[in-house]
Amino acid sequence: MPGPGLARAAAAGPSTLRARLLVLAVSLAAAATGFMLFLQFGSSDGLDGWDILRSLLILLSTFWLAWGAAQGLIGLTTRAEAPALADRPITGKTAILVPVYNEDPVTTFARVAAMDASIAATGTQASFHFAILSDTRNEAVAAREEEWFLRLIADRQAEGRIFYRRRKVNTGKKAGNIEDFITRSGAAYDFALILDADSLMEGATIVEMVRRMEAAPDLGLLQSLPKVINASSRFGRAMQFSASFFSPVFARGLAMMQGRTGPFWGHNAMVRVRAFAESCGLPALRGTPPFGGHILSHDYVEAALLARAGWTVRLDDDLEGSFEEGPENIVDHAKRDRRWCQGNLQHARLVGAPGLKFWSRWVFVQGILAYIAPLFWLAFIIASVFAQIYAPAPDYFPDDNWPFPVFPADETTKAIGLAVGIFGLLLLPKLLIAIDAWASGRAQGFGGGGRATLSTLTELLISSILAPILLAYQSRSVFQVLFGIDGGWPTNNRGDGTLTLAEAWAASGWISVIGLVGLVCVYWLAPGLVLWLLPVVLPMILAPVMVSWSSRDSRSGLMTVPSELAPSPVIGLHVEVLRAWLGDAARAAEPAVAPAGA
Amino acid sequence: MGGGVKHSSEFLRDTSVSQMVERVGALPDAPLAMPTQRLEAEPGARLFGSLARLIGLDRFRADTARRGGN
Repeated sequence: MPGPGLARAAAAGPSTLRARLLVLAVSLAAAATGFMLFLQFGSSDGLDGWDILRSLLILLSTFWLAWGAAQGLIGLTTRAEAPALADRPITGKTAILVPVYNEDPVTTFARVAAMDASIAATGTQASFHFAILSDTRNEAVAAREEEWFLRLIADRQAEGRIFYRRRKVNTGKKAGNIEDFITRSGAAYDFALILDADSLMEGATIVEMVRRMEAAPDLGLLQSLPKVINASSRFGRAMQFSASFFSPVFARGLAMMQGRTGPFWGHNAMVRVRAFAESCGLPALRGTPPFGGHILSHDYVEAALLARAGWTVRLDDDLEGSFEEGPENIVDHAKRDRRWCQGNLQHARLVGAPGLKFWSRWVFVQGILAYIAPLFWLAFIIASVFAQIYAPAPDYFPDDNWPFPVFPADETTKAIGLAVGIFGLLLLPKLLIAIDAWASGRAQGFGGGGRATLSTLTELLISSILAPILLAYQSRSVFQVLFGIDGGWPTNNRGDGTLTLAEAWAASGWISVIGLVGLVCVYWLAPGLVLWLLPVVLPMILAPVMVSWSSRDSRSGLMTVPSELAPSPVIGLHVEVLRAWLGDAARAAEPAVAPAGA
Repeated sequence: MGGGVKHSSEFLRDTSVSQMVERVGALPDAPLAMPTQRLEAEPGARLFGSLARLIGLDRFRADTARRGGN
């Protein structure tokens, strides 16, 4: 545990408090404006319970949208800066942890080989070990893991530097996997770099993270901002572009608000082993899944526990050379999101945990709101239908003493203004980021100002069309969790994610049905709302088409990212190793050709 | 050979691969304690703490805070 002086370092500094207050002020102002506008619109035909309910839902939804938008906007006000450090060699010993669970060992171990080579190029190889921590349940995959581990050791001459352990029982899933390593071998290391199976990091970046950990004795965890690479589908490339183009600015805003109570996203992050060991032993929660049992989204909890113990948890968004791969289709994204949904909602059990910092508790609430917020919109739509059904007939003669008719005020402009405002909250931060990228020159890494702008508009279009489909999946996940249906840990499906129309229908036909039924009901019960709802129900009705279309390879040349125009060296190393290994494997699998005449 | 039954040479190869992996890939033996953290108050402690606060018994309140904190 850090001493009293270091414990003070975990408190929020003045700039952090200013950022939080500014974002809070903007969010409250936007929410209050939305509330008042809708209340005025709703009361044009007399104020009733439906108007008040809808106004409250608008208040909550607008606050949440504005919170995210403001985070992006404050991220534009500063630039990420590397801390000024003395140029001295690193002294600590670091374990690079690669947890795997039924992954393809060739691709995963090729990443380890590439990172090992990248670290070797920095001249600090002696300071790093790799530990491949397998929780693989599939025996055939486990057998391949062993074969390819031996190949990895031979290629990298890495006996004594790269280790492999497969657990017989995967207690506690990934968190338990890491804990098992720490309790067996943690005392041998100062730091541990926690990766995912699809993580890839430059050796120089890893060394820089060690340097930063050594320079800040109060630093318990250092999180990098991973960029998505190797995406080929339209959906994957939109996510990849968003991660490279928008996320750094939003992360900057996040870093400004979180200060020393920063995030842990479970991978591409370095921990101080003793701090982690002393602070982050996770209990199983009382009760059964989905709210009890092992903590699924353990990373947020571990960050909160480190902050509780007085350690700094920091996001350094200036660090480049940190990569991961993402899902190539909406269905794989939804499967992964289901796990995150259950993990985040489970945090409701921990918001009141003893001793946590206020910001850690707020992070749990934010994680829950991220999945509950779509339900506010769903409730708003349903309430709007009922409001139309139960709308009173206009009273043209409200005053018995006035013989002339009084027509109700038309407050439609307020509704339009509110809709424009809400769309503004969604679109404005991204458009401003594009303008800033053009002005600052950052757009060069994305193919130039013009191409980056086109890519921005393309990403906005794709994400707007896919949003109702993604929200449908999220809403279903929430209902599954709330009704106690445990989603567990589906294996991530990394690789070619193209979906045929039949496959897309099997995965998303229910969204089509709900969209069509919803449209028919609204047309029948509240026809005045049909036009307003079309941007939501049309994508839902077309869900299987959109899911299939977005899973196919993109050939437009748009949404280019720096890792494609000027790939980081470790990406090239990974490709080289993979080609060599797959080539050898293909040759080994070829049937022997009998000589002619035999 | 019958379905699902390994040939003896396959079994021997698998065994030798596993043994080699176990020898070459063994993690360093350097145990480090990782105590389980308290994230939930015990139900009895919650009720007890509430009652104690209600009747103003400070020493019980301090004890609950010590058990629930870091």
